[in-house]
Amino acid sequence: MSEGWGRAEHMAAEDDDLARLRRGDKAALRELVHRHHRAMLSVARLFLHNRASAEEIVQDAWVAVLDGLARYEGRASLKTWMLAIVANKAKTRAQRDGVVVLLDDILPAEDGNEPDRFDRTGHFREKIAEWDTMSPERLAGDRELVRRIGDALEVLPPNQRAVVMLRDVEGLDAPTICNILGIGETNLRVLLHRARTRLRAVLETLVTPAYDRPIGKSDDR
Amino acid sequence: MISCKDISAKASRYHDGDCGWPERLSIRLHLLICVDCRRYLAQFAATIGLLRVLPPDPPDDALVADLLRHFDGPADRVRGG
Repeated sequence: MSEGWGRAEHMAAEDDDLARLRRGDKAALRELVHRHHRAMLSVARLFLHNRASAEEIVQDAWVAVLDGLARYEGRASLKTWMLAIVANKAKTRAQRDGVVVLLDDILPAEDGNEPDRFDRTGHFREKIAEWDTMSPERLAGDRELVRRIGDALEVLPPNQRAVVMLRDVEGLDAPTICNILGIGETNLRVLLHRARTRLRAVLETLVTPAYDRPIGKSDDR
Repeated sequence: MISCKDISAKASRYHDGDCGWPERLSIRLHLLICVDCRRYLAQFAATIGLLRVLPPDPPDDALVADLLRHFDGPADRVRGG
């Protein structure tokens, strides 16, 4: 689904997906799995530290989604419903396996704001490059850049990865994410900010020409 | 006076429209005089924009095949038909 869609368009698209799934359209199932599998896995990995266990739970969750299609009443969006299923299954499995999950465990020492970039007065030490010609669509057309962002998502702490996947990739709103993951809005904002800051820094090394070359401080501030 | 470090710390909330008006005003005043922060916030927005149009990362073919087999099961169980 493309950026810029309104809520009505998303709901219409989900209604269409649901109608196709209920008709037994295999292409609709394939599209659904391709579109949401990464987010489903990121939610499972938040609760289960073992990737193999997380993948197993996601598979169970997909089966539960298929089995539940007949009973799905549309009170939550299809995407929210699916992500809630995987979250519940992963929580149950984590409890069974004795995995301790500290969703709100935010390390105060970890500064998401790249402290080395600022001088003692709090201003940027180096000039920030202009990316204005780089639209998201153009960035997404660069396969190497997309691969590197995928890698960067992969190495984020699980709580940051889950939050940024649900908020920025899946486009869910904050209350829905808090409800699915069981975290507070304040912590959601902190985790989201840290994840976005890290990902911007990764993009900067790829997009900004001569990033490694020391550049004088901007003089048109 | 708000600093570049403050702007970077508020970048996410500013992007999401979660800042109150006094905070928003102080950020906008800083942006008027600071090209680096204007560019930083533009980069921040481009990063989020990229995440929104990121191509899907499909699962293993084996998983999809398993799900398709399950989907082929009795219609009354899977789809209520």
